[in-house]
Amino acid sequence: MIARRQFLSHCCQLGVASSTLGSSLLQLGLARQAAAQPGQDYKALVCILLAGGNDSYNMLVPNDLETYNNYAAIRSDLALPRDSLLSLGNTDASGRSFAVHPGMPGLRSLFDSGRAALLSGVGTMLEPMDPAALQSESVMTPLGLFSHSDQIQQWQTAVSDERIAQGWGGRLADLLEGGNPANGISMNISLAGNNVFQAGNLTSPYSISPVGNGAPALEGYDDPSQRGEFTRMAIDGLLATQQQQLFRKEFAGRLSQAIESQVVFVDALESAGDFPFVFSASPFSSVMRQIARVINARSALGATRQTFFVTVGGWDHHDDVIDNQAMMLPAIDAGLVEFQAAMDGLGIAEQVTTFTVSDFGRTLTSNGRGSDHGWGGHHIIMGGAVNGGQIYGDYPDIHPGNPLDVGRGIYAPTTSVDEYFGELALWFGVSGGDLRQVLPNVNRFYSPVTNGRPLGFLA
Amino acid sequence: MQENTSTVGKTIGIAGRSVFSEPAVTPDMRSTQTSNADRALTWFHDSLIPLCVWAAITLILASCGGGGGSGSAPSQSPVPPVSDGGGQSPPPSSPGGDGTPPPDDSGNPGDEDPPADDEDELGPLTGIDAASRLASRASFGSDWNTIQQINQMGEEAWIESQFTLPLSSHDSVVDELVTLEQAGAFDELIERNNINNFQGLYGRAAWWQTTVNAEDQLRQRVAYALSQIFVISDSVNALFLSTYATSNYYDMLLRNAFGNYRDLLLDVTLHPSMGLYLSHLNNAKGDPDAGTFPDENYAREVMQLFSIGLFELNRDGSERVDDTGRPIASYDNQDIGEFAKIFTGLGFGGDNNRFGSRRANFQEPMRMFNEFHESAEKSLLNGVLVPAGQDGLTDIEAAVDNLFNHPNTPPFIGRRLIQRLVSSNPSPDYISRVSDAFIDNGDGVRGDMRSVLRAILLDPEARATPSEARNFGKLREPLLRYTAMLRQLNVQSPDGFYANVGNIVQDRIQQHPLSAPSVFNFYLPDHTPIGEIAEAGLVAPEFQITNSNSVVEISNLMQLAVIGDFVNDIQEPPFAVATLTLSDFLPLAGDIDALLDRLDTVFTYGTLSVQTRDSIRTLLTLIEDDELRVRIAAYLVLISPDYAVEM
Repeated sequence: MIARRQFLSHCCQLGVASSTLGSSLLQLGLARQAAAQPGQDYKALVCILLAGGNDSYNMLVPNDLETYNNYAAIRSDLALPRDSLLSLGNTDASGRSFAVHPGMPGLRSLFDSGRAALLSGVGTMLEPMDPAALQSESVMTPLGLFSHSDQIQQWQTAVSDERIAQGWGGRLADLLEGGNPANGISMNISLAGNNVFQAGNLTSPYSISPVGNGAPALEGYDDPSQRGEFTRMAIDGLLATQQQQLFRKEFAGRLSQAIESQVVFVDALESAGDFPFVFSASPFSSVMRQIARVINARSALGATRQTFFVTVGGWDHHDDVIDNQAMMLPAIDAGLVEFQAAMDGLGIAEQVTTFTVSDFGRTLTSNGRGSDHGWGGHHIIMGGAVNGGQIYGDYPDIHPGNPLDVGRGIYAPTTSVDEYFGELALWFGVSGGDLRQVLPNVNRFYSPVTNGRPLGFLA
Repeated sequence: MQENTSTVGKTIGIAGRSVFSEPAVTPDMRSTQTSNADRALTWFHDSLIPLCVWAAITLILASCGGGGGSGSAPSQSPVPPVSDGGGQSPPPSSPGGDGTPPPDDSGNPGDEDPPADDEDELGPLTGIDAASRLASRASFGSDWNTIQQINQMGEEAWIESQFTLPLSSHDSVVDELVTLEQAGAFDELIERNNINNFQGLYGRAAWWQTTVNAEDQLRQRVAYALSQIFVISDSVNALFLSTYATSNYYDMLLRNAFGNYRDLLLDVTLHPSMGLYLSHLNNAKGDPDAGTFPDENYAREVMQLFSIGLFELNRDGSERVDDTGRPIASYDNQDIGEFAKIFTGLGFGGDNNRFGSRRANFQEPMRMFNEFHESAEKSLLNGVLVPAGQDGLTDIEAAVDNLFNHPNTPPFIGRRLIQRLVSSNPSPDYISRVSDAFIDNGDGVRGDMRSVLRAILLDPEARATPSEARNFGKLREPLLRYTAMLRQLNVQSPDGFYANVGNIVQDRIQQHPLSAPSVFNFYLPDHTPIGEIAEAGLVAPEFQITNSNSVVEISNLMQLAVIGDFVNDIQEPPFAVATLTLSDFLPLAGDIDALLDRLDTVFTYGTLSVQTRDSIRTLLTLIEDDELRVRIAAYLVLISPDYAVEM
């Protein structure tokens, strides 16, 4: 900070407008003081987006013979051999048994040890749907159903009757920290750049990378030599200009904020304690490792609530779904296991919940090589607070004539994303009365005031 | 849709400044063999900013007592000595001010076709700044000489002359590289740097060499815009690794850039790279016995992204609504199923004679294997029926015509092209005028791309004098900021071959041609940043890739290039180090105001704000070395918010 202070007087000497800069530095100092209080009440949500629409009917597969046979009949060449599946210990409420994809042994053991749960038949909905009404097409269905761009957005916004740019993670941050994040760093941290989930009305996510300490410095800016002094003078001078044009103003704001936040963020990460946990080298594991490091630095960051957003792309398997999932699911599996081990090791497992989302489930029928865009699907919830070892929601009975099949083996969801996310938001600390601020349509499915948790997968 | 992770690529700093780089991490989705590490072309690049440069700065600062010796107020707006021919229009004045008077026609409102837009009585920008602005939209950045030429020719004439230039092919550059490879010219390079899959970089090398040097700039720029609408991506290994997969696709876009949209859509549909990317290559008809159906991937995206979009549109691009105020879907899932039947039976072309063959040929359109084509009747949009039993290609042409003639297509494609070339938020009137040009080029021809491009680039709204109050224009794509910097600071390679494969660029800015994370491109056309932009009801797609990480990285990339003079990533023999010669600027180095005028004209066409200019000017007075002064001046302009946004 010495260099910055020097610079401050320096730029005044030069007469470069310093008001914005000075005041933001002041704010920074205040925020840091505020952050000095230890934050023991910490919780984090980690959202993993499997972009493209994971074929989750091959991630969570019926295992008892009768249900498996129905699955195999409709999946045709896409059916996984029954003897390759990894069976789960528990049966569901109707006594059916299930298994996970052969590439996910970690998920099986997390499930069996109670640290992971699965949620079945979840998807975007406008209203609770009666299967018969679904067939007569008398129910309202989400905007742009089956389209990637709409569905991937709605899984992040939890609003399916209009296209909005704010996600429920963003609204969480609006509610919990408003425009005033501790240390100037948003509680929403993205490892996938700008995204809908974490964009609020008052807040936007802080983007980091899995590389190094996550935030690149502006070259030369933190150099203690005179080179740095010159660079700071130049950059701060440029950014102190009052931009009128909205886009220019926005760009200038993002650059200044990035430069300021970087210093704070990297300081915090470097000041955090040891991080002895081992992660694989895969891109997904690297990202999960970086999240674990940030969680480890939560006190230095002054964070009491954080969300993290990760995108893993490439799940739109119109062809080669068998080979591709066999290659991609194990990477997810490994990253989940490694991350959970780190949370356990940090003694913070109860306070961090990880969950998956995806554009949609896929057709149970095959196109001869893969599956096409569907609707409902299955998801993973992991963490110490999870009532694990159970399958929540309803895994549909797969058989010809099931009214949930809206064509081509596209099974409509029976649990809404609103209920799924409602459970997570309530656990995160949103009160029943505030839940609608985060999930505007949740009351269509669940009454936060009178009911308990919508689904019960979290303690 | 195809996706890869948006995980940021690895950059490992060595001694704080060197760059070791590999392409953004892209887990392989299709061919399974090559690991990411193998894909990567990696070696060390010494990007150390020459020590002498910083030594010079240190000296300067020391000599003026830690800087700022002169004390005093910020330099008052310098009187710009009118240099270079064209009049320097002063930057627009403060907001709410009465705006700058139009340079030329201060004529009465209303007498000769006024810019149809409400608020601007501004009239068109003229002179050298107008020429520079056209260059900014219609080329990858033009140097000072070219801008002067455009100014002399006039905007219309320059566009027409660009229409007539021969196409600079990317395939032919790849041909040359293949020939060199076969002659062993790269053996040493490959061995020394332990490069795998060097041929996977030829398409990229062709893109950079051609983009930076080609004469047919408008065609190249339009093809690049089209590549962000008709998206394929080398994040799919099969496209990355196959020589010609990207270059041939790009040549197809170049060929159609000044042709007809209908041919473009057909060529896109039949191109094997698209077939591979959206999986209608080797897509067989349904098999009732096996319970399989045709793949719906291309059927969906060709409608949603390449032609008509999700919702019915008015000619001005606005969405039509039903009685309840809801938008009206352009198609439903049943339509998707019908179109999916159309796109069955295509396999690799050329001498391939087997459906399902993976023997790739990326230089010939896909070929129809009628036995694998769904022969039943299909119903298309707006009541059009395709009779049973037709040849598959006839079916495909019928589907292409169905989309081509759909009322959505003109505003849908028109708006997207305007966004890529001119402005994120064209007015409905502007879109409507472009739709008109699409519907009829004046000779009764629909889909004439030249007519569309003229309408986009020469529209009164596009040509109005820039104003800070207008919020017209767009955030420059990081990639276009980079290419413009190269061309405008006079990049030169000793052997005439600009040897770059964009690894470092992509690593830093997450953008490279034909390398988007998904078929939805790098950003969505309706992305809206929260805050004032959203409140003003505006969209700003390019902000979707502008975050706390990338906004710093693009600035660092500029520093690496402009101050470090590090501008290409294949620098070893037989390739060579490229440099920025700064030849349009060095002669002005001694006169700070003339230098700033030139930079303002070339890079920001007269829109550099007074404050930004003053802030840069203040620093330049501290620098004694001429070349360094030019480099720092250019660097600061290039990272300024003023340059980042073209208004």
